[in-house]
Amino acid sequence: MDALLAFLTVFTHPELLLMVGLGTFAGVYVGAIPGLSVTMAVSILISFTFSWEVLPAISLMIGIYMGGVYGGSRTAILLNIPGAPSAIATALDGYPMAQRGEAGQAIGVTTVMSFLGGLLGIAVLAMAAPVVSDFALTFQPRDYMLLAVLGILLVGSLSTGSLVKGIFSGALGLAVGSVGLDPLTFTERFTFGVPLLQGGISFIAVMIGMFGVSEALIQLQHVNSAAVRQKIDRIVPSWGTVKKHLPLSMQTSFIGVIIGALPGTGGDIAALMAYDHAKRVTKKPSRPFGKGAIEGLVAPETANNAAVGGAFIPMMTLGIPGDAVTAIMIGALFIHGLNPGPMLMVTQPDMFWVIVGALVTANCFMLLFGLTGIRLFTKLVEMPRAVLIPLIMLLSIVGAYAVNNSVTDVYWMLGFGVFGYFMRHYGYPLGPVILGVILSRLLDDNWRRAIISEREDLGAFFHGIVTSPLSLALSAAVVLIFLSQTPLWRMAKEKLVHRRTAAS
Amino acid sequence: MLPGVVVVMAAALVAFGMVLVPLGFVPAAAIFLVLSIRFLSGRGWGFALAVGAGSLVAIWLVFRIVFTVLLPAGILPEAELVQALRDLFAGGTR
Repeated sequence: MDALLAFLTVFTHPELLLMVGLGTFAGVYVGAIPGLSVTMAVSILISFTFSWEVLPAISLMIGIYMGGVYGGSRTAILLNIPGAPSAIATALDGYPMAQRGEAGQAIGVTTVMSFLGGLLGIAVLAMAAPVVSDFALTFQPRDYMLLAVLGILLVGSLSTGSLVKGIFSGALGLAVGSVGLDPLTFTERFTFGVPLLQGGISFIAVMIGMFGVSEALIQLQHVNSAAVRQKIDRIVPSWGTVKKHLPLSMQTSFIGVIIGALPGTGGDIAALMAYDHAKRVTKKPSRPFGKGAIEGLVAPETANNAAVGGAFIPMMTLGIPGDAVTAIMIGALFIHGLNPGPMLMVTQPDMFWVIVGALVTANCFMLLFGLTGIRLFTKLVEMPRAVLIPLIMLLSIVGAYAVNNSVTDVYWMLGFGVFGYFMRHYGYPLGPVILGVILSRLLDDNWRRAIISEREDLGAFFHGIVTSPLSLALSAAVVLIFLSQTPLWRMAKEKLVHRRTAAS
Repeated sequence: MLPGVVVVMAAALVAFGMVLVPLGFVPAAAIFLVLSIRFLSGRGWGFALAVGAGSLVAIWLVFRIVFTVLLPAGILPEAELVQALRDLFAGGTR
């Protein structure tokens, strides 16, 4: 009963409803305008909302997240420029449809399918999270430590394909996160005697630098690419179209939830995997894939919105973010004095249900804004980058300054911005850096707790890992990720295939 | 090879950071916005001035008044301006 009341909080408080609505509206445009990303918007917003109550702040961020994941598809369809990474797969069939003059239909199908996928993702979140968090209460500190390592490795290996670059990014994040006073004994770490470093590096400065300034610097290279105009007519899709693709959308939604729930992997990977799945299972697509098949639009769009609900599962139950945006939201909750994880679910279950309610509301707003306001949309997307980029930079500076009212944070932000530019330039993923910074505290705390509970005996620690099935499974997964990138793995696979062919 | 435009903008950002406190947010941001829009768009000073000033006013109103973010005041009598605006709105609703 309490859960239901908390779930309805958003609907009964006009202020929260307004925040979710505003957030979703802004999110659709942030997601759609190439050069603005959801991660960027949410990380800049943290610093402006930290003096607010926690609920309005989180409602606004949830709205932006939900709207942004959807908004990316717009420009992918109209301009063949994915507004967000999660819309890369959408462009494959969406743009060919627009070229045939079916942009309206493409947008309509995308909107309805995003809504369905989002709803399914939230439903899974609402059902799975309480179960997972009960289970998570039995986790030992060493299990949390292993989960954190696994999360960083997963995002590192899946986001670019190069595990070495992923590990470098993750390790950089962990190193940045551990600068300052150690939480247990207050020993200085990585401060090199500089008093400025004792307080640590503000993770918000790191986020804004990495996702705001560095992105803006990269965008400078395409500053003069012209905007293309598109004519759009009817966009509400017929019920028949929706019904026909319902089975596929259910399958791809589940792919989305599962990929989203894996620590570190988000909508972009989910969308690509769903597209791949659709290609394999659709016997008779409306047109060949890549030439404007509706199936190629349904699959990634349901999956990336379903991944939103999925990403909240590890965030709420374990305190381990499902992707970069939830990593930033964990940071926002930290600032408001909340510590996401199984204990939060036990002590403040209302918080969880309010978030679920906000997600549902954001999903409905998304449907509303998606099917209306096309004309305003085409105007806004044509905003020249020569204006947009300086504004992003200005907002990044304001945001970095606002958190602590300190210019030092502005310098950190600019430093990480320029550094992030080079990382992007040379193909290093930035997601693992943020994940590392956020997870460094969890990893650190739990490693210390684990080793203290074993009386600082490494032998006993490893004995604990080997005897607990969960710890063993997690360590095996960590080892497997490493092995999968070595020649050893390929050799083993070849041998296996060889034996199978020999047997048959 | 680094594109020149990136180097210029990065340098402009660092310069912005350095003058932020002594000059104050509004003058520093105005100079930064107008110069960078002029530089990036390649259009006239009129365009850069209008767009830069317009968006700066919007940003300042949203963040300083709505979000009540503290920004370095610098050389501008910002506190008086905020108070005057508050009085204006308080008078309007009464």
